[in-house]
Amino acid sequence: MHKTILGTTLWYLGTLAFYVFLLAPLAILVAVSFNPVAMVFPPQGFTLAWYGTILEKPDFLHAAFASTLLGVMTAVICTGFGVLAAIGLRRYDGPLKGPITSLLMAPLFIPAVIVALALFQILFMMGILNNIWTLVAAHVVVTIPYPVRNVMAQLEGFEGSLEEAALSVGATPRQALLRVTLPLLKASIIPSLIITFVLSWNNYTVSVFLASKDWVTLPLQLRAYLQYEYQPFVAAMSTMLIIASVVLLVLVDRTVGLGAMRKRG
Amino acid sequence: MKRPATILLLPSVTILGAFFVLPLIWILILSFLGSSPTGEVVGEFTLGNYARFLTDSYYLTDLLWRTIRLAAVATLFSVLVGYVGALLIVRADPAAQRWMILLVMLPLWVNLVVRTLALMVVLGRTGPLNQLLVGLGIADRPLQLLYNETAVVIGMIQVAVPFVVMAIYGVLQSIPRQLEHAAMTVGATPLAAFRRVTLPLSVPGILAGSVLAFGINIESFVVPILLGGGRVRFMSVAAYETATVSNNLPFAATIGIILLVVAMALLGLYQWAVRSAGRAAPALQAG
Repeated sequence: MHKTILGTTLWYLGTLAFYVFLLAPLAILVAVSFNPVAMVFPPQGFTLAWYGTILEKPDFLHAAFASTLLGVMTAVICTGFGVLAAIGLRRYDGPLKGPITSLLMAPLFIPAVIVALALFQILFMMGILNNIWTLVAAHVVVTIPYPVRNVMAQLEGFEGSLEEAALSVGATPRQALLRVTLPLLKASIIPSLIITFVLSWNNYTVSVFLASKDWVTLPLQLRAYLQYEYQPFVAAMSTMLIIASVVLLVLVDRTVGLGAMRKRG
Repeated sequence: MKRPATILLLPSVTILGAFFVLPLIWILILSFLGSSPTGEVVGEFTLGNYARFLTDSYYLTDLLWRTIRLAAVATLFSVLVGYVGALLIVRADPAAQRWMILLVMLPLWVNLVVRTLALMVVLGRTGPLNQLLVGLGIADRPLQLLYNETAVVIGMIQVAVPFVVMAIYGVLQSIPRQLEHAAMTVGATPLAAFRRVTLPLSVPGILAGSVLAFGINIESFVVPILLGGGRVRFMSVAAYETATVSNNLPFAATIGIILLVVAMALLGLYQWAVRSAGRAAPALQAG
């Protein structure tokens, strides 16, 4: 399509424009975090002081702890349940196979804000809003399709023949599961853990409905700072979150590839 | 073999039943219950909540129609930008493609509040975009770019584009380049070859991308809150505020159910319309 010099130049300019549109805002935000004066680009100087400011804020540290704990709990429980469900779904061939598969994928198709609203309403009615377990359960519910789908996709690959082989040489179903199937699934379990952690760590919609004062997560805390203290330390905090995301992204890309992150389909 | 399978399915089915199905059924019921002036739930069946929503032009035009309109406009632009992006990637050097994909995926991994804050900095009164507009003489003084519908639409486009790129990239990749080359050997200009060959063949990607983008945009929540600054009313935000600020639980449930039904209906209608258009014009189904 691009044979002439003009065409080639336009082609590169288009590519540049596309990536500027996609990534320049983030780059500008990172640059602002070094501005000693205010939330303004270009920075009127260079300082790292805002990183010190944010690391001294107790509510930031508390939110970082809450988000990390919530993310780890969500990742472990969600991936655990998801792996079991994917294996179960493969073995089960009863009349409910279709409905159960749809149920496991349904959180992808119902807007998260409606799931969060519904959970808020029922938990409010039951008076059990202020604890971390309901928050973990809510995060698990909105992320469970990812591990189920990843593991099911991998199970398609080895068609149960290895498990049958183990059974035929005298392994119990339990042994076959623990010694053959699970080790083989490592390649889909690890990305599932990372993806569910990232989704939980970044989640705003579900948390804003359900998190109590004691479990203010990083996105909620960032939003609170935006409202009341619009200073470059929020850019410093954002930069730290961006770096964490980039590290996890590269980690997944290096280990298993990025196909696992698609939202649907 | 059947018993262990059921045991394996039990944890996820239980948690989805308790924390997904049950709450959704509950808000469906709740949307048909009345509320006292103080917001307490009254245990009797009523259509009042729906009547209130559907007869008040504030809810219909200022809220529901705005939500649909902004989501649709943002989807249109997301598909345009996403298509160009996917085409640029698919035609790039194979070694570069891997990195280009990684850079498209990167924003998806960054916290949405962070991404929206980045746009607030860009669009702010003293932000780089205003500096550029004033510097180039397009505007004589900084414009109010934030806290209006345009800002919300820009935010939604930013969120949806990576998803659209991935959907269209997958389809474009599967179209052999030789088809376009063949068209050019028989005399088509590069542009005509693209328009008559590649574009029709990539319709499934456009369809998947636009469904994805509209689904994401219509349930947008963080973007209208931060970039709309309370001035751009949006269904999801209204449901949140009605439930947590004004504490009218049945009416919040009604807003949620209406959003859900409208989103599903529009997506269904759109897919049906595109499929029947495809049948009417066989050229679209080439290959």
